[in-house]
Amino acid sequence: MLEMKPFNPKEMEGVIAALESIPGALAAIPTERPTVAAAKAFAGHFASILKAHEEGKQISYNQFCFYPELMYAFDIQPLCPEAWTIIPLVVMPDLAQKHIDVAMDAGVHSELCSADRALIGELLTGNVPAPSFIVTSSQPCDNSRMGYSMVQQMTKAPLFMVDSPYGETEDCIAYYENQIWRLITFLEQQTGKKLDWDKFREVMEESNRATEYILEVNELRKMVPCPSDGKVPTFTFFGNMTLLGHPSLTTMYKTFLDDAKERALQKQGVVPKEKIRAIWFYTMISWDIMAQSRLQQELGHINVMDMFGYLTYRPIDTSTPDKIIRGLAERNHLAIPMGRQGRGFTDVYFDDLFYVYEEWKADCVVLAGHDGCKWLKAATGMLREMCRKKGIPLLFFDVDILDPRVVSGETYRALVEDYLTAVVEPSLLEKK
Amino acid sequence: MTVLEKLLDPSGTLVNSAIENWRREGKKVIGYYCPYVPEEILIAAGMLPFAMRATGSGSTSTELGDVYCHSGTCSYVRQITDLSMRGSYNFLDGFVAISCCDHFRRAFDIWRYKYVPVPSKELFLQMISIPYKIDSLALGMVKNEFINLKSNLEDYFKVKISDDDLRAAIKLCNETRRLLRELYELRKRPDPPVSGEEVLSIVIAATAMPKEDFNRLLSEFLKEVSGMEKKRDTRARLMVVGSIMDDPNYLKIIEELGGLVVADYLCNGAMYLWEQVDESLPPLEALAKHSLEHISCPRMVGDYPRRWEFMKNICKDFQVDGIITQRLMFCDIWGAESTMIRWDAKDEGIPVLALEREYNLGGTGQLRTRVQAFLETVGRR
Repeated sequence: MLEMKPFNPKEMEGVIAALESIPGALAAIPTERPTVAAAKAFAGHFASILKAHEEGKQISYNQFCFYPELMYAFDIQPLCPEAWTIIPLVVMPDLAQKHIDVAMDAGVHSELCSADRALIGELLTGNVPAPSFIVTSSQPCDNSRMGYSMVQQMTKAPLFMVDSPYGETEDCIAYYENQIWRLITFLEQQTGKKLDWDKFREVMEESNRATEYILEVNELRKMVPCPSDGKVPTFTFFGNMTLLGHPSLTTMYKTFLDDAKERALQKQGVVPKEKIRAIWFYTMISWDIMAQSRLQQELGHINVMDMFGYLTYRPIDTSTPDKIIRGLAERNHLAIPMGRQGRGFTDVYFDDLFYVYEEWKADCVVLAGHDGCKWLKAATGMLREMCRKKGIPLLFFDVDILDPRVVSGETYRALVEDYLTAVVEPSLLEKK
Repeated sequence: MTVLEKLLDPSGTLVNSAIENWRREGKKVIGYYCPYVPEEILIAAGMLPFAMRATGSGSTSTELGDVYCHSGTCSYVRQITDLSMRGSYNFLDGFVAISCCDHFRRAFDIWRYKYVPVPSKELFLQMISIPYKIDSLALGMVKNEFINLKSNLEDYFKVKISDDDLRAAIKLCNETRRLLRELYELRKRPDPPVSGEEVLSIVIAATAMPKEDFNRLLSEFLKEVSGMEKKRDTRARLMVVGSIMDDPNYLKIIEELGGLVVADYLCNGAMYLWEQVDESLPPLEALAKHSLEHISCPRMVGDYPRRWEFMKNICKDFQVDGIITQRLMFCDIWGAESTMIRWDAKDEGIPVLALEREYNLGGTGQLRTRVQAFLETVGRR
């Protein structure tokens, strides 16, 4: 049996302190208002995990394709492992490496997604609290399913997986819906208390408020020039998986909206001279996310939308318990970013990409192909051909969003900068 | 040809003589991937199920497949994509897959996108969504998927599949599984009359020829060998587990070095043949139950304890000295499972050799060295 060290809060405290230092460091830069808001919200979230651990409160792991509203309704502290392994990299870019190495020393194979390897390493070294129980989802990929299987074996924590079928038919949604009912029973068993439906409705209403704000932000991002920072879609992804249903996320999204609205009213862009609108239609590189600010300032490039920030769902009808559960099933099965695109046929990913490209008036596509994401990488051959036929510039490169040792910042930035300046910019000039 | 030679022959070719004869009679062949696909429904439709593989094709190239796949896609998928683009699967009339793993899911998408296997004609393509968990809701989902498969086959090929057809196909496949289990039982003997290499070849034959012919040949063979023992210079009795393994030469190398493969946990081994379909249930329900509840692929979340228990029991029943886990590079499903097996086997005192490989048998020098070293450790002499 693998030995896991007891939880030591030191590293988490360090991450919280680093996040808390962001507002002071970036306060003078108006375009970084969303970054400041996000840092405050995530620092608060991690602090609540520490507090829950100190108080002996139950901590549930919630995988990133299952948002935490139910946990908040049950007054359980959610801990999204992917958020915990990735968000700290914004302030401590090298943090995941040592955890990844520990996991590999324990025999974990090198191609498993680094988010899962980092989590296993953190559990072994005691840098993350072990879960009281685990709620996961079969979306989007093998890595996630297998990573959580390993975590369950290590921790022996009870696990409930909400299974997402391949298709999008009524049968599929009903299947998902039935599983949420079973999940509620599971959570009632784990917590020893019944779900308070009034509390759940309140949480869902909070979730809806946040959703309304962020959908409005996404609409504003279609404007030329784009009035909202390029990192906002990534912060949205982090926010939903950690805090959806919690008032601090609503505050964070309200700040995003106010920031975007202010510029939109003045028809100003977040980039002084917007030259290139890109869709990074996969992910940003967490350990180098501030490079986006530099790309904005120096090259006039902006990420107008990415796969994780692109939301196809709408607020959920909270009028009856049945409608809430139905709404959750539709949202989670059909629309959670990455689950939606990764779960089934790859057409959904292609259709989303080309829709977002048109709708957000993009000039090019950038794909940072995270090492663990085999579901996406195996689709890039088809995508290249499609983009070529449509005349859409596409840059695809391999990278690991947790581990800069795989492809360094210098290497990938050089690729992106060359692509933007030597391929995209001339083609735009030519068009003009 | 001896009976054994007839049983070993199909694993050495892609299109064996049984498939050629079948096609000559104007009958259809459907490729499928994964033991979760119910062969019985295809047989009931009058078709020959063929388990997708590239071994026996004579090609080791992935050059064309690499145009669409990525270097991080497993070499099995890259190679069958390559072969499909070269037209090597032109003998197929359709292809049924399941949502088994990320690699294969995308391979299916590439097939749909390129329509490459048979560029000159239409091809029946179906993806079956198999849940990643085992419970009553999942069972309902699988049953629906099988109903869809049946009705899509009926529509596409203008055939009628009755419950009686399904029952007959279940009976036929149960007989195949019963005979294969009998073959496996022989391996419990101290000096089994069959090697691991031969058994794997025979299981492959079961997935590449009409079941009636296969059952007849295997029955004959079992009669021939039932009282036999074969003395070998065996250093260790082994169980091989892991990703798809359809190249008997891989086991041949292990056995040449003194290992004797007496058991397995492979999708084209124990997972394919271990359990019978319940003939007393309505046929589609019985097939769904069998597909979902048979000893599982590691893709099924939450079922690892049952799998490990099964493997431990097999180790006892077949007097296994050590386990070899072999996984295709980039296969995360077996990557994680192999790691968990190593963790648990250590506690049980079962030696494990963890191997990574490409689909095509390459790097045999390294394989020999590692197996040799393992046999030194666990070997009986």
